[in-house]
Amino acid sequence: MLIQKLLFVTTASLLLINTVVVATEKHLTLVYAGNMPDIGISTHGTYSNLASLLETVRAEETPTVFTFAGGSLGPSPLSSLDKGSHIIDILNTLEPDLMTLTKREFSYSEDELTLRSYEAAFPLISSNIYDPLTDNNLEGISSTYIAEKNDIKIGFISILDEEVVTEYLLKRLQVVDPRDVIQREIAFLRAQKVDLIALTYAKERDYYHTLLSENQIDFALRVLPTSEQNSTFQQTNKIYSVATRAPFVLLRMRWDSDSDNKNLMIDVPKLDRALLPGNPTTSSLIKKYNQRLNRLLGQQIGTWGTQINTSRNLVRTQEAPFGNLVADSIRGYLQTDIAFVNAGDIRGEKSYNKGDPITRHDIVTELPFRNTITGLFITGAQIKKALEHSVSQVQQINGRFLQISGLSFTYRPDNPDNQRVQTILINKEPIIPSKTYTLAISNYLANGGDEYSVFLNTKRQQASTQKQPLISEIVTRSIQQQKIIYPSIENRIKRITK
Amino acid sequence: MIIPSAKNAPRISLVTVFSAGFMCIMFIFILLSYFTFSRLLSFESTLTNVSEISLPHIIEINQLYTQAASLLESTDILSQSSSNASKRLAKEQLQSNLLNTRKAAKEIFKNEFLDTQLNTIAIELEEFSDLIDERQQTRDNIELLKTQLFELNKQAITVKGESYSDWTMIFSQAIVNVSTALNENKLQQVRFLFKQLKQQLSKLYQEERSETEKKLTSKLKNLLFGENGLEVLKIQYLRLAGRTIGKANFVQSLIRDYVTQLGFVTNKTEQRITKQVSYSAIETQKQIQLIGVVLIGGVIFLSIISFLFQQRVLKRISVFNQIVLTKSQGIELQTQLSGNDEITDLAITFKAFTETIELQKKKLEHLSMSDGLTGIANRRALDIRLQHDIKLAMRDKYSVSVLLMDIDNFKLFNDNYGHSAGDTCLKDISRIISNALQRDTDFVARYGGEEFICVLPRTSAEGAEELAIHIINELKAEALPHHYSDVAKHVTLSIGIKTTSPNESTTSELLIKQSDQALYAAKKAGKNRHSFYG
Repeated sequence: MLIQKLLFVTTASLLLINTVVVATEKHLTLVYAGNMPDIGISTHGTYSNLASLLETVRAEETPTVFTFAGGSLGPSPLSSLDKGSHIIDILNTLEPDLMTLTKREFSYSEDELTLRSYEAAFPLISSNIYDPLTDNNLEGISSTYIAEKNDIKIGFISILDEEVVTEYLLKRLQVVDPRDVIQREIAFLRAQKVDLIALTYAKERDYYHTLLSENQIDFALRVLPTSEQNSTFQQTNKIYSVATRAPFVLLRMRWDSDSDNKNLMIDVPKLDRALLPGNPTTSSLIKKYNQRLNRLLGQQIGTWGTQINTSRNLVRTQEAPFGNLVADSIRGYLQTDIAFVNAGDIRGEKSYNKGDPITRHDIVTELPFRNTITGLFITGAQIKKALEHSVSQVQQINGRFLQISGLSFTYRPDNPDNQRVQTILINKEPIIPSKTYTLAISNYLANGGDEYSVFLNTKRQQASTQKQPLISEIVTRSIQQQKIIYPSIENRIKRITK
Repeated sequence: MIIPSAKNAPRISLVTVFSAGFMCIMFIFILLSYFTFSRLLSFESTLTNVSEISLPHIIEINQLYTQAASLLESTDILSQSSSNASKRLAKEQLQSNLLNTRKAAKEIFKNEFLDTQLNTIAIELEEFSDLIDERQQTRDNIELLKTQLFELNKQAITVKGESYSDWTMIFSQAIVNVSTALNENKLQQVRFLFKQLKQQLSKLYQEERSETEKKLTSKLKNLLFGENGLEVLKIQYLRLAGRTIGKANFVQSLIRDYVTQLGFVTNKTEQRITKQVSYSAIETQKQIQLIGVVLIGGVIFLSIISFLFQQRVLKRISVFNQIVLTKSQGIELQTQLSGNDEITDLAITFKAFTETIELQKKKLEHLSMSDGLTGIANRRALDIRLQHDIKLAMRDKYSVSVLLMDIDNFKLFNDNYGHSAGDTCLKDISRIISNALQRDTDFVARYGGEEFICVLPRTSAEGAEELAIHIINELKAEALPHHYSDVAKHVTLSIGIKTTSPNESTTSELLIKQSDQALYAAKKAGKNRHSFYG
């Protein structure tokens, strides 16, 4: 009561001063969080920490807007089962004002995202997508959102990277060039008389800086892509980022509402996320989900017979024992001549010691995407083409790098494009370009994922009438049958350097 | 002529040839039967395998698919249920589906981890059902509070004139706003609307309001913002609704995943069938090829055997037949019958027989034409010869001379020296006469008793006389003793000669008769001399 009175006095005095000297100053607290796909990982701050942060700032007088940045519906072990439902459920307890989308939200297809939108008691925003089915935005997704708090209105425009279509092989969705969209939405938001306009995005463009410098937008929120997370980043220049290792950021904003020059000031108080207390409600929900995850995936399926490492740098640049295990498993399942697994499918970034138990959870952590198996007929020449594509961006640690089974090859990374692959042996015999071989791969690759257009021109094996199983399930079953597994490097991929 | 070259060739008996041939035909027949039969057996085993193992398995899998599909359907009905009764019914159906699925799964996955998956699904479904209960409960609670709210509104309308006239309006407006907030489905919007309501209520709850108004406002406030007020319930409901949809999607996806895992079994079954069938197809192809080869080989072999039969047996029998036929017609065929078997044996035997017959015929002929004692031609031979020579002489117009000779006083010789000496004498005489003949064409025969006759074609009377003198002289020189002769001390002959002229037409009877007359004349003239006819 006392505080309220004090505030009233302050506001009243401010109003008095403002009418005379300056325009009204408005305050807003913005919580921006995202890139939190795995509820099991607690290193960089959890949903429980976030809940307590929100509780604290919401208790303050200054209105709070909580924008969830996405990057969380997938991939993760639990998402591999519920396609992100649990994240929506947790977010429903955190009550975000809105959630913007990143590529990862499309991990389980656009239709699954639409289903999630009906679970979400908050709006999902993406400004530059077009669905021919609705002749508009994807069902359940809004193009813009105005968060209204007291007398404050903030408009949000969210831009999705166009790579989402190829990376996640979306069937219908089109990503529209952001430039026109942004201009249109800015005009719309201005018409709605919003106080501030925020732009959220992941991929950097010079254009956004221009928008900021021209004050067309007031500030930008960004989800850092995985590839940029190693560099240190600073919350400056009106662009505020979240990343896996810094999943939430608190922005204290103030501005002059009546003058032309808003003079927006944004403070970014340093958050020691580890010191944030947990929120009991959210904690118990997460605990429940983790128990459920354990119930679903805790079962031991085998034992590691050797030391295994699934780091991104390893699986995307060279033959990796885990890659061999996956490739061998799918080859064994379809009984094909050869098998390919794109390293981008292997996501664990973990290391296992000899003798460690293997749980279903481990496999789903390593293979979180719900890719199913596909059998193809492929010629020797096409295999060569695929392998060339595989080693075309090894330096960039690209996910297209293939882990293989049933064949071996050598390559010279320094050679020009399409001349890197040297000798290819299939079943210890030199490859015959005109011969047709059978190949087991994921439906993702078969549909041309990771820009493997070569697979689009192949004939598919007659699949059984039933749905094909997930690759992770095939690997799980293969491990179950072997009990102790000893995947090793077998000189399948040999790099020749000068 | 049969040339028995066979004896040098290795002997291949017809029995061997026929046995070997038939054995081969039998062998090919058995081989073909074996291949066909074994193929049938293997085909039958594939079919049995498919029908007894794979098909029931596929049926079981299909049953499981059906059960799992109805499980999905039941889950859907459960999530849609809007009353306790419909929820209870859906749950009952779900339980029975689950039971059936478990039963079907038990048949297919024996002690596999998929069993634990089904347990997980059961737990998830149980939780899902609880969640639906909770949602229903919240919905019911909201409905209850809404009823109370409208009740409150009714009371508010009745409050009149006690205080500010705008109170009722603001109160009713607040009730309308509550409805708006309850219809909202975004959390922040709900929060925002309730926050506005809170401000609205603070206007209603002011000092100057009447007690009734204050009481009603307080009641409304409690309804909206109490511990289990509408705001809390609405927020809770939104969360539960989201969670329910999420859970429904999740459970359905879990069931779908479970169904997908059936793919492992189907895949295994399909691979097994494919393997069996393709193995069977390859085997069939191999055996068809083999049967084809054996069949072609068999046909070639049969042709060879037929050819051999034809060459070795039929053709040779036909040759043999021809030999026999021609031989029977008395013609000698120069044919070679090679080989060494029963046919050559027959041919050789036939040859031996015909040769024997030939020999015996000659012997018989000889016997019938010669004289038993002296070995020279007999009267029969003479008749044939004489007729022949006369015919020739008449055709070619030359002379034929006939010498008819009779031993002088031969009766006395026999009587005195005995018949045996007589026979010796006859033999000696015939030898002497035979030796006396100079030409091959000349002919001598024993005419009867002690009479001999010579036929000399192309011989004049002089030539005949010369021979007669020569014979008489030879006898003299030989001087076979005959002391009882009235002519000389040795055996002598009297010779009657008849020589035809070249144009003379005569007969053998006439010639002999004429020469006999000449002989008579020689006898009359004193024996041991010759005499001409006429």
